[in-house]
Amino acid sequence: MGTNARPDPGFETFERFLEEWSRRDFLKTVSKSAAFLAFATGGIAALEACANAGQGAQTQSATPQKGGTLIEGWSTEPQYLLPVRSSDVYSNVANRLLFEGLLYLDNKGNLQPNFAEKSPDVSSDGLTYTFKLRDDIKWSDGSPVTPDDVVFSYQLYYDKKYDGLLGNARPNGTRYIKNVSANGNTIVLQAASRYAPFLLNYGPVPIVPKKVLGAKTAAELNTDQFNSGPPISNGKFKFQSWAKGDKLVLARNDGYFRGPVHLDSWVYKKVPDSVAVLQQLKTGEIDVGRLDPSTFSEAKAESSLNVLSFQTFGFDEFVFQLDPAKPQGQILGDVAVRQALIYGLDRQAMVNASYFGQAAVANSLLPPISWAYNKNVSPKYGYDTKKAGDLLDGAGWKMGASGVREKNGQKLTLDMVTNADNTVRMKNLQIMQDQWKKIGVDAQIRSLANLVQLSNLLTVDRTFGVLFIGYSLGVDPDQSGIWHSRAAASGGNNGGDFKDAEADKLFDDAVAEIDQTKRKAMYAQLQDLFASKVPACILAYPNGIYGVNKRVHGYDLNAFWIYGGGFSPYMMNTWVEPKK
Amino acid sequence: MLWKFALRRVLAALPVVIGVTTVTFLLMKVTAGNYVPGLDLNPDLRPEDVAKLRHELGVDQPLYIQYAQWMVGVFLRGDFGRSLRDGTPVLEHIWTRLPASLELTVTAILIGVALAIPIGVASALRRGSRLDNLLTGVSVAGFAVPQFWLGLMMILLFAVSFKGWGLPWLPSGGQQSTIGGGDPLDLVVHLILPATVLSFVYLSVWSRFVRSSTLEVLSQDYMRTARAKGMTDRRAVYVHALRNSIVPLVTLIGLELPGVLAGGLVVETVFSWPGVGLLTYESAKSYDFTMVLGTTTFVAMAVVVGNLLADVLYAVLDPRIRYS
Repeated sequence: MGTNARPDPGFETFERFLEEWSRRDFLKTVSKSAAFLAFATGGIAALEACANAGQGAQTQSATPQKGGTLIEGWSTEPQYLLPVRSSDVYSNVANRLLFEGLLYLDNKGNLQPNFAEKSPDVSSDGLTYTFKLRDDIKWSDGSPVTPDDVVFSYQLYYDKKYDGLLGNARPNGTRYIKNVSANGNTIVLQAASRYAPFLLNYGPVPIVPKKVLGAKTAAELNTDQFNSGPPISNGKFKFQSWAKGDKLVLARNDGYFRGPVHLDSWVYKKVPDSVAVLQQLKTGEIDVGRLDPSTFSEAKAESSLNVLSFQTFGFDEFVFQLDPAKPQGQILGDVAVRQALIYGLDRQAMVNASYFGQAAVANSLLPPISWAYNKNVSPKYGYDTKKAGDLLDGAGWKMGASGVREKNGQKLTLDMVTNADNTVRMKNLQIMQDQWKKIGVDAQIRSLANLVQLSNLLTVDRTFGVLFIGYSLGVDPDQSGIWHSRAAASGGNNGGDFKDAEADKLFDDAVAEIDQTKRKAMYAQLQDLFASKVPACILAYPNGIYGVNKRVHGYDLNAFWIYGGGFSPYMMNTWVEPKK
Repeated sequence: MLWKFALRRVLAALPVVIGVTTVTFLLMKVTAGNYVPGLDLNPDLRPEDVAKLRHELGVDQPLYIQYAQWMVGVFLRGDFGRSLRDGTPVLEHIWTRLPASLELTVTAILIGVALAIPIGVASALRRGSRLDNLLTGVSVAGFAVPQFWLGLMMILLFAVSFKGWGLPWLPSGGQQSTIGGGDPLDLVVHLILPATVLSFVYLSVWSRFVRSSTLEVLSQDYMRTARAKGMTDRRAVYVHALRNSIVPLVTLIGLELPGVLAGGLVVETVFSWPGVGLLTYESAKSYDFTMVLGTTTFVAMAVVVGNLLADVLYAVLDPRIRYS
């Protein structure tokens, strides 16, 4: 799992601004000086349309060509190139091209041997994992990657010696790894307890050089130069330069154990925002960039681009307040009310309007691309206002004279919150307000300025009725960090105060179950439980959308590689045609 | 005399700097709280993990202690702290970003001055003419049009559309080409769009000031005397009027000096120009509290120095002004 790091689109705001602006009267009065501006607003689009019509499809050759540079444009910069310090997707994209681990995640989400000769032997109690390190892995300076390097790399995650090493990896590392040792080229990982995602989380731990970092203390590592420029690496690329705020350049590592990649270099270019990403994709200044759903159709229309749109591990949801000590919790504590609210939503219409169709309506806690997805999850919630009304009637909320339902003199009023700088979320709340009005629910929108305030409201303050938020998740189906009663403590993400002994037990048992079939059955049960109790409504699974220049070949991005942390095959087969 | 005056101005400016930092500190804490990027809202971490990590970062301490520690660092040790995002010293970021900001804003100011003076003088000399009206229109537009909009339109036209039409196009952003950039021509090509947009605002404001101060100077007695002596109009304007009419411009440019350091935040952001302005914007967007505080304080100090320089230059240009 990772933090909610979806970039917030400011583009709609800007477009709205443009519309309003161009309507203003004073443009006419200052017509002389504004003539060129008018040309800019109206003229460009028309001229552009003419110009695009003349462009034909690019010819494509299928034989990989050596050399060239691939430029990826991102609106957020990486933070740390020392993997143990980083937990954000932006840093991971870069540092996983530099450092690889014993295992990697393939494009189906399965772990495969990487620096290990073969998949590990697992002891019958599921606590000991034994690997054999390949002897042909080299650092980019030509020296071998040794078992010592491997042990050292793991120590950064769990060893007491490195307490005080900042970053999000250590708390779980110390919790789940008991010991890592080497005997010859045999590496033994010992788990502290039976923990199903152990291999997924700790098999691909990137190996870093002990000879460079071994003598440093935790405090030194926090600020070490390695974080912004590692001298040697073992992945497909090696570090070349990083001008912060501008670009990070990696050069091909010819000593890579699978053989050198096609590209000469890979550049991570900082682009201001999603608007600029599309512009620079069009001009060819960047080859690859992540797009907002709002720009999907515009990118599709661009002849020089391929547009990838794929499901990811993540969802947008709204959480209900269940805490009986809060007034909103007294209303929403009734499961019939929560179910009625979901029946009362036309979620497909929401996906079409807010995500421009680039998302799928969610039926379950887990996305369909997860191995643990329960396709028979029940109940499923279609759009059914009659059922919604019946449920509310049954719960004692009778339609009042004002069009708002009432119970014991109290009106059915909800306090809905999200962060205003996320236009998709705001749009969703507006649609919800409108649709719930039709079933007699008066939902009031409260917008907080930014994610910081929303985060504080969810994790600490917790005075809300319905809170809209999104998560990018990992490949593993465990979501106890969001729904376990443990996370209802102050600072945790279970801000809706969902406390359910059965769910807690299922979460705990499933994460300790090594047998995937048994584990899957538990998650199937959990998904049903979640669907019937609905402590939150998982609204939609938004797609990841990328624009890729047609001169780029073999760039097969998918959810497992970019978000799952399994970056190994990524870039292996990527090659570019020379720029025209 | 001058140094005494300077010293007094510096002392008077101290409360300003302290005030600015206090307000920024409180504003940031009110809006961003003690949020730590990557730490909060992370379902991977348990509440007790978050508490521990916050403690290690020192953000669990009372506000006044955090503030006092920060102030001591800045004013006694010149230490602006470390970025919450990537752990590197804030000052290091500012120093590496500063040259880019200087390049952009100094160019823009030079363009602005070079165009504002002739435009202002021409408007004043042909007051009420069609030329004057046109130039007035341009400067009103330059002042009224938001920079980000103008910047985006220029990108759309000169980068995206020109490229689409097969014309020579200008890069949409950055200080140099991503691959193989850095030669003088490459740098100039990248500078054109952002410097034009930024200078447009300077030019609009300054040309108005030059116009009005020239008008004022033209009506002075000594101008009449000069003409009465038989000086040609042109000579009278260039020898007597010009020098006096640009004095107010010096103050304005002095006031822009902090802008030189902060960079045109908006222009830098639109054009992805890797300067201090973009750094501030990015940091604010990613809730990097220490970084925003650092750049703001840095700019506050620059404001003080900028004003001081303008005051000193004033005396050099206008002999009537004396310091006491």
